[in-house]
Amino acid sequence: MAMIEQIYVEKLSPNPAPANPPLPIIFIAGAAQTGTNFLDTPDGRPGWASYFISKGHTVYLSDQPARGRSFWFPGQGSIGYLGPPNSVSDLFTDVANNGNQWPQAKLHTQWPGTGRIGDSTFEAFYRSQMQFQTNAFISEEQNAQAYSALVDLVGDCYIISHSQAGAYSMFSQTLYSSLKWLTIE
Amino acid sequence: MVNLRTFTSLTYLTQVAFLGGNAQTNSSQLMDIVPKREVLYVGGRYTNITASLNSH
Repeated sequence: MAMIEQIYVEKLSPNPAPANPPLPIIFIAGAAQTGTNFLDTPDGRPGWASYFISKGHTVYLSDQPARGRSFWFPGQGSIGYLGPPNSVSDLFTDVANNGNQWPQAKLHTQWPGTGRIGDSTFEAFYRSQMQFQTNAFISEEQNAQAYSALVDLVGDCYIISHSQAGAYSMFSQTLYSSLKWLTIE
Repeated sequence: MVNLRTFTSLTYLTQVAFLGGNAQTNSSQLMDIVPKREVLYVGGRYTNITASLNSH
């Protein structure tokens, strides 16, 4: 017997707690990424966790099932990775120079540094990418169960989900009609 | 109550997570926040699938 599909959650609360705290926020990172995404930016600036804690929110930073600090049972589904560094650069960090792979690509100019191999900010980002469950059916089922359990624990809250995790906040929304959620790209 | 040990841990984790060889000074006031930190494991279920573990 084993226990599977649980998630790692890091709860950070303002200290001391504000008298009338706003709703807590659950963060879910996108593909290959973890709760550390929201601690700092890859070039060392404070991340969303610091910002929202400074506004009085308690934040819950999580790793999806089978990713990062959350357990993966060997053989369950299919484990993959985000992709080779040049592909990651074309899709995420140096989009403006990806050869116009789509009409708006040239507009993505805000990533710090070159966004390519050899740039310290890119490599800090790429170094933080983790293995993840690539079987979408297993991933969706496991995330629905795990984040429903987390919402049961937290109560009324916001969910901010990033990229691939957008579907999971929406799925939670169908289970908890009072949830407020936002998906970021 | 401010827990310096917790803050030290959080700072360490964030540095390890993203800075690596890219360490640099960050003077933002946001870094002065001292949150209370708790680690939870949530959800999960028991299962009888043990084949992979038993093979070792």
